[in-house]
Amino acid sequence: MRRLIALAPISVLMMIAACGGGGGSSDLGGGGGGGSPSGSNVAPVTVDAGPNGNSVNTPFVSVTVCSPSSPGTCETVDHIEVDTGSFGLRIIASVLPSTFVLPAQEDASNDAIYECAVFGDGYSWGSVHMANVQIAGETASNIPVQIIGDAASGTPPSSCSSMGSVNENSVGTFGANGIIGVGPFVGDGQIYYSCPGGVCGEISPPAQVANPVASFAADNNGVILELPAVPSDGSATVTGSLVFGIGTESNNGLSTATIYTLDANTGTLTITYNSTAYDMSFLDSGSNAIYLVDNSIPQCSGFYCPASTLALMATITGANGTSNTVGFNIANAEALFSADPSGTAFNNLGAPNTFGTFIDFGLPFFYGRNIYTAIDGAATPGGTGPYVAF
Amino acid sequence: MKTIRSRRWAFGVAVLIQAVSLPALAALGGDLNSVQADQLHMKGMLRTTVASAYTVHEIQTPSGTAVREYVTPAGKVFAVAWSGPRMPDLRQTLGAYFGEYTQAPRPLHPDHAHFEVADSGFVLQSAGHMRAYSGRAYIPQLVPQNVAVTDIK
Repeated sequence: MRRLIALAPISVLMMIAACGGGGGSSDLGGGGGGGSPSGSNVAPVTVDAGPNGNSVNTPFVSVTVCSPSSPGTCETVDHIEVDTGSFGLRIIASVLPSTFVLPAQEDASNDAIYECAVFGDGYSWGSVHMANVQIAGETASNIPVQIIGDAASGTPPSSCSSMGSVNENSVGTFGANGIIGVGPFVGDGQIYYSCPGGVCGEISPPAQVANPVASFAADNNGVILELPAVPSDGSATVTGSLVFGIGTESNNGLSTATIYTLDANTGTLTITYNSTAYDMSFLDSGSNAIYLVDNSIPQCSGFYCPASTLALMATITGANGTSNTVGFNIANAEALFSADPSGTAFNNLGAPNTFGTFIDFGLPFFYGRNIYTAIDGAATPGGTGPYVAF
Repeated sequence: MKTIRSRRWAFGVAVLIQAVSLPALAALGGDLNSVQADQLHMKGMLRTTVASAYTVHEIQTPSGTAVREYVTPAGKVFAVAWSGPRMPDLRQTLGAYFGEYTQAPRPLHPDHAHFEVADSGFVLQSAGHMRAYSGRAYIPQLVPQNVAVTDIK
C-alpha cells in the first residue's frame, strides 16, 4: 500500500514522458508476430474453442509423452494449453488410454508421490509420473509430470482441497486436455504428498514437476510464443508457433525485442496504468483477457463491456528499469461474442481484476507479437533470465 | 495508521487460552476470536494494524503468504485478503463461507488465473499464478459504511 503510493508520482512522470515521446518508445501496433518459422524447435500453436467448445484466447499445442522405461511406448495428446504463467506438464488422466502407464515418481520410502497443483481458479490433484516429454523435435528425458485425476490418486486431502474452489480433475473442469507451463521458472513450487497407509502428508519430492524446456538437450533457455495479429472483430481460429530457445538457432534470435527483466521470486514486473504502478503485474498466455484495474469501465459476464471500444495505454517497466508505453484496445465483450459466436481469438477482450493489485496482460496482448520468456538463471544473448521480451 | 507490535505477547497468551476453550471458529463473518484461531491453525506470526474504521490482523504464514483479516470496531471479521507464493487455507479463512465459494457457478469462458464469486452476501476474488497468488473475500453487509472495498487488499 505504502509502496504504491510512493511510486505514484514516479509513474505519473513516466506516463507523461512516455506519451510525450521524451522517454521510451511507444508500441501501439504490435509489430512482428505471426511469422511462420520452421525447424525442429518449432511447435504449431492453435487458438480455438478447445475440447469443451467454450475457450476463448487459449493457445493449445500437441505434446507426446513416452515411458522412460519403454521409450517406444508413447501417446500424443492434443489441446494442451500453453501457459507462460505456470511451470511443468500436466495431463488429464482420462485422455490417456488406461493401458498407457508411466512409472510413478516415488519418495525415499518408495511411496508414490501426489501433487496438489493450485491455480487462481481452482486446484488439480493427481499423481506424479516420470516421462520423456517430446514436443516438436525437442525431448525432455525422464522428468516428473502430473497426471491429473488418475484413479490411483483418489480423493485429495483436506489441506489440498482447502486451497481452491473445485478440483479441476477432468477435461470438463480443467478446460483442456492438459497444460504445459513454459513460464520463467523451472520448478513449480507446488505442494507434494505421499500417502502411506492412506494418510497423506506433505513431502519434499526428489524433483518438482518442472518446465520441460529447461530439460531439453538444447534450446533450453526459454520460449517465444509467436501469434499473428487478429482483426478487431475476432477470429474463429488462429495458428502460430511456440519456438524453443532464445538465440540458440537461426529462427529464435532476439532481433529488436526489448528485454524486461522479472522479479526473481515472483516473476512479476511493473505495469503502470492510470498513473498507478502495479508491481505484481505479469504477461500470461494462460490468461484469456487483458485484466485491468479500472472501475470506470462497465462490466458484464466477467469481462469489460464499454459502450464503444476504448483505446488505452499502459507502461511496462522491467526490474532492469527498462520502460515502454504500449497501446491496446478494450471492446465490448458481449458485443464481440454475439457478433461472432464462433470467434475464439480476440485482441481486445478486457476484464476487471477487481482485486486491484496487479495488471495481467493475457493472450490478447500476444497477438501480433513475438513474446519471449527467458527462464530463471538461463543464459541468453540478451542476458540471464528471468525476463520477458517483445 | 498505527502499528502495534508490542501486543504480540498479549495475543500469544490469548491464543493459548483459546486453544483449549474454543473451537476453531470461522474467520470471515466470525468474531475477533476467529483471527486467533486462524493464526493458530496457520502457525503464523500476527501483526495488528489499527485504522480509524477497522483493525487489520495480518497473519504471516511459514510459506511466506500473508493473510489479512479486517475486523470492525464491533469485533466482526468483515473481509479477508491474501497474497504470496502459496494459496492460504481458505477452508479455515472463509469459515462458513467456504461452501458458498466451492459451489459458486463457473464462468462461461474460464481461464486458470482468475475466479470470482459475486453474490449479494458474499464476494470473493481469486487471482494469480504459480508462485504469486492473491485474492480477497468480504461480506458486503458487514463492511463499515466509511470503508471503500478497494482498501481491502
